[in-house]
Amino acid sequence: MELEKTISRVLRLGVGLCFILLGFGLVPSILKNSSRLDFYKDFDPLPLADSVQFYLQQKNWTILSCYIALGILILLPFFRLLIMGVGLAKKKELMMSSLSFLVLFLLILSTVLAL
Amino acid sequence: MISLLIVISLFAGILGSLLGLGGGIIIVPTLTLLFDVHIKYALAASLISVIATSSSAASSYLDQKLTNIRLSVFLEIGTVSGAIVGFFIASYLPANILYILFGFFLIFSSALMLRKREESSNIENHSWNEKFKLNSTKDYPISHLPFGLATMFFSGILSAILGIGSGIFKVVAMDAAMKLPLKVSSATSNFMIGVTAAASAVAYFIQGQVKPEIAAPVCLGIIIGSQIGTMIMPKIKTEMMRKIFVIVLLIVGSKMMYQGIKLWN
Repeated sequence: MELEKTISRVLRLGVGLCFILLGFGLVPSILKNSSRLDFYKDFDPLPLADSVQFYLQQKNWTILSCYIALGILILLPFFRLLIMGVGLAKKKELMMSSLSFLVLFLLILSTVLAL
Repeated sequence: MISLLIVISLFAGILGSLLGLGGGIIIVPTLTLLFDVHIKYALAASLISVIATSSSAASSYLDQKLTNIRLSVFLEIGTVSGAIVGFFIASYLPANILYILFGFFLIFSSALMLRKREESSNIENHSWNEKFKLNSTKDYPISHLPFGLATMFFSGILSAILGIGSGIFKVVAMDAAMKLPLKVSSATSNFMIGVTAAASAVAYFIQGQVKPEIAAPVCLGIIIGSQIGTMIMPKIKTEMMRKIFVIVLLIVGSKMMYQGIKLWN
Protein backbone atom coordinates (compact mmCIF):
# COMPACT_ATOMS: atom_id res chain seq x y z
CA MET A 1 0.00 0.00 0.00
CA GLU A 2 1.19 3.54 -0.74
CA LEU A 3 2.79 5.32 2.24
CA GLU A 4 0.38 8.28 2.01
CA LYS A 5 -2.62 5.94 2.17
CA THR A 6 -1.22 4.08 5.18
CA ILE A 7 -0.66 7.34 7.09
CA SER A 8 -4.12 8.57 6.09
CA ARG A 9 -5.75 5.37 7.40
CA VAL A 10 -3.88 5.51 10.71
CA LEU A 11 -4.82 9.17 11.25
CA ARG A 12 -8.47 8.49 10.37
CA LEU A 13 -8.59 5.52 12.73
CA GLY A 14 -6.93 7.46 15.55
CA VAL A 15 -9.20 10.50 15.21
CA GLY A 16 -12.28 8.24 15.01
CA LEU A 17 -11.29 6.43 18.20
CA CYS A 18 -10.65 9.73 20.00
CA PHE A 19 -14.02 11.04 18.86
CA ILE A 20 -15.83 8.03 20.37
CA LEU A 21 -13.90 8.23 23.66
CA LEU A 22 -14.41 12.01 23.94
CA GLY A 23 -18.12 11.59 23.20
CA PHE A 24 -18.43 8.94 25.92
CA GLY A 25 -16.56 11.17 28.35
CA LEU A 26 -18.53 14.31 27.67
CA VAL A 27 -22.12 13.01 27.49
CA PRO A 28 -22.67 13.15 31.31
CA SER A 29 -21.28 16.71 31.50
CA ILE A 30 -23.48 17.86 28.62
CA LEU A 31 -26.59 16.26 30.13
CA LYS A 32 -25.89 17.79 33.56
CA ASN A 33 -25.01 21.10 31.88
CA SER A 34 -22.15 21.43 34.38
CA SER A 35 -19.84 24.44 34.29
CA ARG A 36 -16.58 23.02 35.54
CA LEU A 37 -14.51 25.58 33.65
CA ASP A 38 -14.93 28.01 36.57
CA PHE A 39 -12.34 25.95 38.48
CA TYR A 40 -9.61 26.90 36.03
CA LYS A 41 -9.50 30.63 36.54
CA ASP A 42 -6.36 30.26 38.64
CA PHE A 43 -3.32 28.36 37.45
CA ASP A 44 -2.50 25.44 39.75
CA PRO A 45 -1.76 22.37 37.62
CA LEU A 46 -1.76 18.90 39.17
CA PRO A 47 0.69 16.56 37.36
CA LEU A 48 -0.88 14.02 35.01
CA ALA A 49 0.08 11.00 37.13
CA ASP A 50 -1.56 12.48 40.25
CA SER A 51 -4.72 13.48 38.35
CA VAL A 52 -5.11 10.02 36.82
CA GLN A 53 -4.54 8.37 40.21
CA PHE A 54 -7.19 10.65 41.76
CA TYR A 55 -9.78 9.85 39.08
CA LEU A 56 -8.97 6.12 39.29
CA GLN A 57 -9.69 6.20 43.03
CA GLN A 58 -12.92 8.10 42.31
CA LYS A 59 -13.75 5.57 39.54
CA ASN A 60 -14.57 8.52 37.29
CA TRP A 61 -14.49 6.59 34.00
CA THR A 62 -15.82 9.47 31.89
CA ILE A 63 -12.91 11.79 32.75
CA LEU A 64 -10.49 8.88 32.40
CA SER A 65 -11.81 8.13 28.90
CA CYS A 66 -11.20 11.80 28.01
CA TYR A 67 -7.62 11.45 29.29
CA ILE A 68 -7.14 8.34 27.12
CA ALA A 69 -8.59 10.13 24.07
CA LEU A 70 -6.34 13.15 24.56
CA GLY A 71 -3.35 10.85 25.07
CA ILE A 72 -4.10 9.02 21.79
CA LEU A 73 -4.53 12.34 20.01
CA ILE A 74 -1.14 13.59 21.26
CA LEU A 75 0.53 10.31 20.25
CA LEU A 76 -0.85 10.36 16.68
CA PRO A 77 2.00 12.56 15.29
CA PHE A 78 4.51 10.16 16.93
CA PHE A 79 2.86 7.16 15.22
CA ARG A 80 2.76 9.06 11.95
CA LEU A 81 6.53 9.70 12.08
CA LEU A 82 7.24 6.08 13.03
CA ILE A 83 5.17 4.81 10.09
CA MET A 84 6.94 7.25 7.76
CA GLY A 85 10.39 6.23 9.00
CA VAL A 86 9.67 2.52 8.60
CA GLY A 87 7.82 2.98 5.27
CA LEU A 88 10.63 5.03 3.74
CA ALA A 89 13.26 2.55 5.00
CA LYS A 90 11.32 -0.27 3.31
CA LYS A 91 11.48 1.73 0.06
CA LYS A 92 15.27 1.98 0.61
CA GLU A 93 15.01 5.77 0.95
CA LEU A 94 17.45 5.80 3.82
CA MET A 95 18.13 9.56 3.89
CA MET A 96 14.44 10.48 4.26
CA SER A 97 13.87 7.59 6.65
CA SER A 98 16.72 8.89 8.85
CA LEU A 99 15.18 12.37 8.81
CA SER A 100 11.84 10.92 9.95
CA PHE A 101 13.52 9.12 12.83
CA LEU A 102 15.47 12.29 13.68
CA VAL A 103 12.21 14.26 14.02
CA LEU A 104 10.76 11.41 16.09
CA PHE A 105 13.87 11.49 18.29
CA LEU A 106 13.46 15.26 18.77
CA LEU A 107 9.81 14.73 19.77
CA ILE A 108 10.81 12.08 22.31
CA LEU A 109 13.61 14.36 23.54
CA SER A 110 11.07 17.11 24.21
CA THR A 111 9.10 14.63 26.36
CA VAL A 112 12.19 13.53 28.30
CA LEU A 113 13.21 17.16 28.91
CA ALA A 114 9.73 17.93 30.22
CA LEU A 115 9.96 15.03 32.67
CA MET B 1 -21.30 25.87 29.35
CA ILE B 2 -19.63 22.78 27.88
CA SER B 3 -22.20 22.64 25.06
CA LEU B 4 -21.41 26.26 24.20
CA LEU B 5 -17.68 25.49 24.13
CA ILE B 6 -18.30 22.53 21.78
CA VAL B 7 -20.33 24.77 19.43
CA ILE B 8 -17.66 27.52 19.37
CA SER B 9 -14.93 24.91 18.80
CA LEU B 10 -17.01 23.46 15.97
CA PHE B 11 -16.98 26.86 14.25
CA ALA B 12 -13.23 27.13 14.95
CA GLY B 13 -12.79 23.76 13.26
CA ILE B 14 -14.81 24.84 10.22
CA LEU B 15 -12.91 28.14 9.89
CA GLY B 16 -9.57 26.44 10.55
CA SER B 17 -10.04 23.84 7.83
CA LEU B 18 -11.43 26.40 5.36
CA LEU B 19 -8.59 28.87 5.89
CA GLY B 20 -5.78 26.35 6.36
CA LEU B 21 -5.15 27.21 10.03
CA GLY B 22 -5.05 25.13 13.21
CA GLY B 23 -7.85 26.92 15.02
CA GLY B 24 -5.71 27.93 18.01
CA ILE B 25 -6.13 31.62 17.23
CA ILE B 26 -9.87 31.20 17.91
CA ILE B 27 -9.70 28.76 20.83
CA VAL B 28 -7.30 30.73 23.08
CA PRO B 29 -9.28 34.04 23.01
CA THR B 30 -12.55 32.12 23.46
CA LEU B 31 -11.33 30.27 26.54
CA THR B 32 -9.65 33.28 28.17
CA LEU B 33 -12.01 36.12 27.32
CA LEU B 34 -15.36 34.27 27.24
CA PHE B 35 -14.89 31.40 29.69
CA ASP B 36 -12.40 33.14 32.01
CA VAL B 37 -9.97 30.22 31.91
CA HIS B 38 -6.33 30.94 32.87
CA ILE B 39 -4.29 31.58 29.72
CA LYS B 40 -1.84 28.72 30.43
CA TYR B 41 -4.67 26.13 30.51
CA ALA B 42 -6.10 27.74 27.36
CA LEU B 43 -2.76 27.47 25.53
CA ALA B 44 -2.41 23.78 26.46
CA ALA B 45 -5.97 22.98 25.29
CA SER B 46 -5.33 24.91 22.11
CA LEU B 47 -2.21 22.85 21.32
CA ILE B 48 -4.24 19.63 21.57
CA SER B 49 -6.92 21.16 19.34
CA VAL B 50 -4.22 21.92 16.74
CA ILE B 51 -3.23 18.22 16.71
CA ALA B 52 -6.94 17.33 16.32
CA THR B 53 -7.36 19.70 13.34
CA SER B 54 -4.13 18.51 11.72
CA SER B 55 -4.83 14.79 12.11
CA SER B 56 -8.45 15.15 11.07
CA ALA B 57 -7.84 17.21 7.92
CA ALA B 58 -4.49 15.62 6.95
CA SER B 59 -6.11 12.30 6.06
CA SER B 60 -8.29 14.02 3.42
CA TYR B 61 -5.35 16.01 2.00
CA LEU B 62 -3.21 12.85 1.83
CA ASP B 63 -5.96 11.07 -0.09
CA GLN B 64 -6.05 14.02 -2.51
CA LYS B 65 -2.23 13.75 -2.85
CA LEU B 66 -1.77 17.44 -2.00
CA THR B 67 0.61 16.93 0.93
CA ASN B 68 4.35 16.70 0.25
CA ILE B 69 5.29 14.32 3.07
CA ARG B 70 9.01 14.35 2.21
CA LEU B 71 9.23 18.14 2.44
CA SER B 72 7.19 18.07 5.64
CA VAL B 73 9.72 15.73 7.32
CA PHE B 74 12.60 17.98 6.23
CA LEU B 75 10.96 21.14 7.59
CA GLU B 76 9.76 19.43 10.78
CA ILE B 77 13.39 19.26 11.95
CA GLY B 78 13.28 23.06 12.23
CA THR B 79 9.81 23.32 13.66
CA VAL B 80 10.24 20.63 16.37
CA SER B 81 13.61 22.06 17.48
CA GLY B 82 11.96 25.47 17.75
CA ALA B 83 9.06 24.06 19.76
CA ILE B 84 11.46 22.54 22.33
CA VAL B 85 13.18 25.92 22.76
CA GLY B 86 9.77 27.64 22.92
CA PHE B 87 8.50 25.31 25.65
CA PHE B 88 11.30 26.41 27.98
CA ILE B 89 10.79 30.09 27.14
CA ALA B 90 7.04 29.72 27.82
CA SER B 91 7.71 28.26 31.29
CA TYR B 92 9.27 31.58 32.36
CA LEU B 93 6.76 33.95 30.76
CA PRO B 94 4.07 35.47 33.01
CA ALA B 95 0.40 35.58 31.94
CA ASN B 96 0.37 39.32 31.09
CA ILE B 97 3.24 38.92 28.61
CA LEU B 98 1.47 35.92 27.04
CA TYR B 99 -1.71 38.00 26.58
CA ILE B 100 0.21 40.83 24.92
CA LEU B 101 2.24 38.46 22.70
CA PHE B 102 -0.89 36.62 21.63
CA GLY B 103 -2.71 39.88 20.89
CA PHE B 104 0.23 41.07 18.81
CA PHE B 105 0.34 37.73 16.99
CA LEU B 106 -3.37 37.97 16.12
CA ILE B 107 -3.01 41.49 14.71
CA PHE B 108 0.13 40.47 12.77
CA SER B 109 -1.67 37.36 11.45
CA SER B 110 -4.55 39.50 10.19
CA ALA B 111 -2.03 41.55 8.17
CA LEU B 112 -0.53 38.33 6.75
CA MET B 113 -4.00 37.08 5.80
CA LEU B 114 -4.67 40.23 3.79
CA ARG B 115 -1.65 39.79 1.53
CA LYS B 116 -2.25 38.68 -2.03
CA ARG B 117 -1.18 35.14 -2.84
CA GLU B 118 0.18 34.70 -6.34
CA GLU B 119 1.51 31.78 -8.31
CA SER B 120 4.98 32.36 -9.79
CA SER B 121 6.26 30.73 -12.96
CA ASN B 122 9.99 31.58 -12.82
CA ILE B 123 11.27 29.66 -9.79
CA GLU B 124 14.84 28.60 -9.05
CA ASN B 125 15.11 25.06 -7.69
CA HIS B 126 17.31 24.82 -4.56
CA SER B 127 20.17 22.27 -4.62
CA TRP B 128 18.95 20.61 -1.40
CA ASN B 129 15.79 19.67 -3.25
CA GLU B 130 17.77 17.31 -5.50
CA LYS B 131 20.01 16.12 -2.66
CA PHE B 132 17.13 15.09 -0.39
CA LYS B 133 14.74 14.24 -3.28
CA LEU B 134 12.07 16.38 -1.60
CA ASN B 135 9.66 16.25 -4.51
CA SER B 136 10.64 13.05 -6.28
CA THR B 137 7.02 12.28 -7.12
CA LYS B 138 5.83 15.89 -7.65
CA ASP B 139 6.39 18.20 -10.59
CA TYR B 140 7.14 21.59 -9.02
CA PRO B 141 10.44 23.20 -7.92
CA ILE B 142 11.20 24.19 -4.33
CA SER B 143 13.11 27.42 -3.68
CA HIS B 144 14.97 28.96 -0.66
CA LEU B 145 15.03 25.80 1.49
CA PRO B 146 17.48 27.12 4.17
CA PHE B 147 15.26 30.19 4.67
CA GLY B 148 12.23 27.90 4.91
CA LEU B 149 13.95 25.77 7.54
CA ALA B 150 14.90 28.86 9.59
CA THR B 151 11.31 30.16 9.41
CA MET B 152 10.06 26.79 10.64
CA PHE B 153 12.38 27.03 13.67
CA PHE B 154 10.87 30.39 14.68
CA SER B 155 7.33 29.20 13.99
CA GLY B 156 8.07 26.23 16.30
CA ILE B 157 9.11 28.64 19.09
CA LEU B 158 5.89 30.64 18.59
CA SER B 159 3.84 27.47 18.58
CA ALA B 160 5.03 26.41 22.03
CA ILE B 161 4.79 29.91 23.53
CA LEU B 162 1.37 30.79 22.14
CA GLY B 163 -0.32 27.37 22.01
CA ILE B 164 -0.88 27.52 18.29
CA GLY B 165 0.17 25.46 15.26
CA SER B 166 1.60 28.66 13.70
CA GLY B 167 0.22 27.39 10.39
CA ILE B 168 -0.13 30.94 9.13
CA PHE B 169 3.68 31.42 9.19
CA LYS B 170 4.31 28.01 7.66
CA VAL B 171 1.91 28.70 4.79
CA VAL B 172 3.44 32.13 4.15
CA ALA B 173 7.01 30.72 4.20
CA MET B 174 6.16 27.87 1.82
CA ASP B 175 4.00 30.05 -0.38
CA ALA B 176 6.02 33.28 -0.63
CA ALA B 177 9.62 32.14 -0.02
CA MET B 178 9.76 28.52 -1.14
CA LYS B 179 7.34 29.19 -4.00
CA LEU B 180 5.27 26.05 -3.57
CA PRO B 181 1.83 25.81 -5.22
CA LEU B 182 -0.86 27.33 -2.98
CA LYS B 183 -2.78 24.15 -2.27
CA VAL B 184 0.42 22.21 -1.54
CA SER B 185 1.53 24.92 0.94
CA SER B 186 -1.76 24.73 2.85
CA ALA B 187 -1.93 20.93 2.85
CA THR B 188 1.73 20.47 3.86
CA SER B 189 1.42 23.13 6.57
CA ASN B 190 -1.69 21.39 7.89
CA PHE B 191 0.23 18.10 7.99
CA MET B 192 3.12 19.71 9.90
CA ILE B 193 1.23 21.68 12.54
CA GLY B 194 0.27 18.45 14.34
CA VAL B 195 3.92 17.50 14.87
CA THR B 196 4.85 21.07 15.87
CA ALA B 197 2.09 21.11 18.47
CA ALA B 198 2.90 17.58 19.71
CA ALA B 199 6.47 18.66 20.56
CA SER B 200 5.25 20.85 23.40
CA ALA B 201 1.80 19.24 23.97
CA VAL B 202 3.40 16.14 25.53
CA ALA B 203 5.21 18.31 28.05
CA TYR B 204 2.04 20.26 28.91
CA PHE B 205 0.09 16.99 29.18
CA ILE B 206 2.58 15.42 31.61
CA GLN B 207 2.78 18.59 33.70
CA GLY B 208 -1.00 18.56 34.09
CA GLN B 209 -1.75 21.73 32.13
CA VAL B 210 -4.07 19.85 29.75
CA LYS B 211 -7.38 19.64 31.60
CA PRO B 212 -9.90 17.22 30.05
CA GLU B 213 -12.80 19.43 31.17
CA ILE B 214 -11.40 22.14 28.85
CA ALA B 215 -9.54 20.19 26.13
CA ALA B 216 -12.12 17.44 25.55
CA PRO B 217 -15.07 19.65 24.47
CA VAL B 218 -12.67 21.76 22.39
CA CYS B 219 -11.29 18.70 20.56
CA LEU B 220 -14.74 17.18 20.05
CA GLY B 221 -15.99 20.40 18.45
CA ILE B 222 -12.82 20.82 16.39
CA ILE B 223 -12.98 17.26 15.00
CA ILE B 224 -16.63 17.69 13.92
CA GLY B 225 -15.95 21.21 12.60
CA SER B 226 -12.92 20.31 10.52
CA GLN B 227 -14.86 17.47 8.88
CA ILE B 228 -17.75 19.85 8.07
CA GLY B 229 -15.22 22.38 6.76
CA THR B 230 -13.70 19.81 4.39
CA MET B 231 -17.20 18.99 3.08
CA ILE B 232 -18.37 22.58 2.51
CA MET B 233 -15.01 23.78 1.14
CA PRO B 234 -15.99 23.43 -2.56
CA LYS B 235 -19.28 25.32 -2.05
CA ILE B 236 -18.09 28.36 -0.15
CA LYS B 237 -16.27 31.57 -1.10
CA THR B 238 -13.24 31.52 1.18
CA GLU B 239 -12.16 35.06 0.19
CA MET B 240 -15.19 36.63 1.88
CA MET B 241 -14.66 34.45 4.97
CA ARG B 242 -11.02 35.51 5.05
CA LYS B 243 -12.02 39.21 5.16
CA ILE B 244 -14.54 38.64 7.96
CA PHE B 245 -11.94 36.63 9.83
CA VAL B 246 -9.38 39.44 9.55
CA ILE B 247 -11.81 41.87 11.24
CA VAL B 248 -12.49 39.35 14.01
CA LEU B 249 -8.74 38.83 14.52
CA LEU B 250 -8.14 42.58 14.80
CA ILE B 251 -10.88 43.02 17.42
CA VAL B 252 -9.90 39.96 19.48
CA GLY B 253 -6.17 40.77 19.18
CA SER B 254 -6.71 44.28 20.50
CA LYS B 255 -8.85 42.94 23.35
CA MET B 256 -6.15 40.43 24.36
CA MET B 257 -3.45 43.11 24.32
CA TYR B 258 -5.70 45.31 26.47
CA GLN B 259 -6.22 42.40 28.90
CA GLY B 260 -2.42 41.92 29.13
CA ILE B 261 -1.83 45.61 29.83
CA LYS B 262 -4.62 45.56 32.44
CA LEU B 263 -2.98 42.58 34.19
CA TRP B 264 0.35 44.41 34.08
CA ASN B 265 -1.12 47.33 35.97
